[in-house]
Amino acid sequence: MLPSALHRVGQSAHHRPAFAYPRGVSEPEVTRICVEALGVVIPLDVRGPDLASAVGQAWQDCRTTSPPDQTAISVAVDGPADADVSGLDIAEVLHRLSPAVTHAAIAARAGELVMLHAAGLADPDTGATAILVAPSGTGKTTAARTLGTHFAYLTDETAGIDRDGTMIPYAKPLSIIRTGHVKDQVAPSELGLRTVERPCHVAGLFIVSRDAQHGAEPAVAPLETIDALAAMAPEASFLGQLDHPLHRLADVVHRVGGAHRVTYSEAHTLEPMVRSLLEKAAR
Amino acid sequence: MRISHGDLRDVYVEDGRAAVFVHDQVVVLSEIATRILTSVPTGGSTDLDAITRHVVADFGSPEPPLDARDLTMQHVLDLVAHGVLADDSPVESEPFTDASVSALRDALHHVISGNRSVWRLPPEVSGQQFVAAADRHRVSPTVAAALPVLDLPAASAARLTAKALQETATVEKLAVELAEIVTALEQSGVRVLVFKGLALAVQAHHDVAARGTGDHDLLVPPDDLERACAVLAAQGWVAAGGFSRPGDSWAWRRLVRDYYELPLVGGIGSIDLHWHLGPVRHAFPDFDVLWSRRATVSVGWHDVSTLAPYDALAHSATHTAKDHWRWLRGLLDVRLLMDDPLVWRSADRPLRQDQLLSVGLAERIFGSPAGAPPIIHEAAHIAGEVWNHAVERQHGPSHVNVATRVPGAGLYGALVALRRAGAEADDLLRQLSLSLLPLDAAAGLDTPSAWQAVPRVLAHRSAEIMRLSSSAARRSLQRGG
Repeated sequence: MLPSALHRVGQSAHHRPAFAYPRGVSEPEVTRICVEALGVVIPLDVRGPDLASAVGQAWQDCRTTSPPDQTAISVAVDGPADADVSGLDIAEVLHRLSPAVTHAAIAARAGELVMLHAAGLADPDTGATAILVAPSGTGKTTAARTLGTHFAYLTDETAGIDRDGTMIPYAKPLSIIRTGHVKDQVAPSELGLRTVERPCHVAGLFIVSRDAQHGAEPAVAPLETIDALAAMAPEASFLGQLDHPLHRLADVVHRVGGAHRVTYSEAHTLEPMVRSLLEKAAR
Repeated sequence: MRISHGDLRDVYVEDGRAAVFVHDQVVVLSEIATRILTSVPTGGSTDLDAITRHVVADFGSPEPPLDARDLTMQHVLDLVAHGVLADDSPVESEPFTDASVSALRDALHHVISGNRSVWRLPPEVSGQQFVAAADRHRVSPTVAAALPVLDLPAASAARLTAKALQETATVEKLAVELAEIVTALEQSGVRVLVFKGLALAVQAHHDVAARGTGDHDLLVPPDDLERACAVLAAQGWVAAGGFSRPGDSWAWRRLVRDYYELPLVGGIGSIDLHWHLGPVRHAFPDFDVLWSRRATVSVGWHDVSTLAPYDALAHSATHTAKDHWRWLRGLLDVRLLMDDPLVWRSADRPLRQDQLLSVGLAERIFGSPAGAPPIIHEAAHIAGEVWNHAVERQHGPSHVNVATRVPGAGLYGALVALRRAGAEADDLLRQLSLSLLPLDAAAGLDTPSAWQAVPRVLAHRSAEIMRLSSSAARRSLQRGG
């Protein structure tokens, strides 16, 4: 599902602001900010200096100078009517921008990558990556934020995995509840999360579920491949657009030596498990 | 029964178990189901006996009185229902008849009564006609769930079961989609009431799949409409063709002023985003009141807010009256809601005439709930005046003959229905406006000025009326010839 104005147009360094203003209304300053998500360069045409500053700050870990792969997403506070993403204030716009960029990115990589709702955490020295698969709203962001101070943070939203097991990062802002009903969008680096420049590859696959009543130690159980596919499929985006979708999922499972189901109570209790996996992968 | 593979995108088999990608979902098969699947040749077909032999060869025969062929058939039907296998047998379908619709009414009455005796199909109605009637009236899931007390031919029972299973699979996906929609709106601070569809299925039938598949009907405060649209647009939902996009255009302002819902497409289902419950603004309390006494139902593990029991009854009764009681599912909703004592305890206003007629018809068709308040019996009495009209519609085609687009041709019927629903002068004026200047004639106009927009819509409308009139005249001549 995509914002209606998005169409893939290939490489283009040129752009015109994706807004139309009523006659007589002066056209405000539009800043183009290019962000990279799942390897796709998406231009954002942001209206007004204050919003541009906020978008630039929140998306600083995804910013790129590479030429865009997409038509621009127009972003504005309180209109104009044809803005792809708008809201009553900057916080609301940032809140809505994140899913719009995500949808644009996953739609662009549909049919290429296995894309799972997951947090991705890597060993910054080896690039070995643990993927924690979980539905939206079940603690991925908390896990990524907690573990991202120990390991390199790759994503708290979508793990994109190439045919050769390469994990494509998507260091989007994290949604953090501070005040009010709209979550703040904060860049990973601003939260002190570690980043990584080197290529990363999948080394572990965990289907995680949080249970506040669970004991101090996470429960880890191996999954048969068929059960792993059943658990992963609902958390996969555009699965149907892959050739042989089940075989692609099974490739990921086999590549990491099998998936595991993990039940935990608090995110920090996952740290030894992830560390053990990544150290083992390094050996 | 000739069995072949369904439209399978991918099959992955490991250690005697299979996962299948079909209809955009992953279905995991048991070991027996996997053996059944692998016994069907790719690109060819086979029969039930051959499949049974493969299953028995691998798993042995079941203990008597169980029968291997029967058990295999149940698995095959289940796989057919999920689209994993296809039944290539020529289907001799028969259309529903007046007698089969009457039989369906009788069967549903029997099911609702809680009578554990077995209801039998009248000799003049075939199983296929009965299944067609259940399908026509959108009650296949209810009938399928009641098969233990309905004596139907085995093939008809199997077909109902398969259809219900197929619908359930889609309902599960719709439930996940609904949870995502509601979560997105709630996280943006938009209050949303989910009504009809899956929420009503849980509230009235206590089964999320009981009403089959359908749209997501959402009610948001009128002041939050544009915000809700923006949230849903960020999720990929767009206004359906013929409807304006939110903005400062005259077309959008008019849509909000004169209409009550915006259809959005972009997911598995579609959304009907309401800012009023219907065309009669005064028929229901405003959003804040509805919200203050909302009920909560669990749709696929996710709690959503819905109408309070009495509001749900009133709305279902209005809705089925608007459709001239042509679908038994609508009246069944009303009757099941009438069962809930909470409905009557929370009543805060009298039922309007259209609502009384629906309640009365539901009582006449499905019987009276235990401890029914006197108003139900009075309603059943006055519903006599529309009984023939309702039965005629129920025996007719399911296609709703929406008011023809020539002004006046369907307007009279719409105004009568509105008056019955308690419409006031402003409701009737809005209906007149919509008839004169249909919404879709203005959908593409983005001018904010009524002075510019109205002449263009009128010109478009005039051309359309000429075209429709010519077409109608041609058809009349052809019929005459």
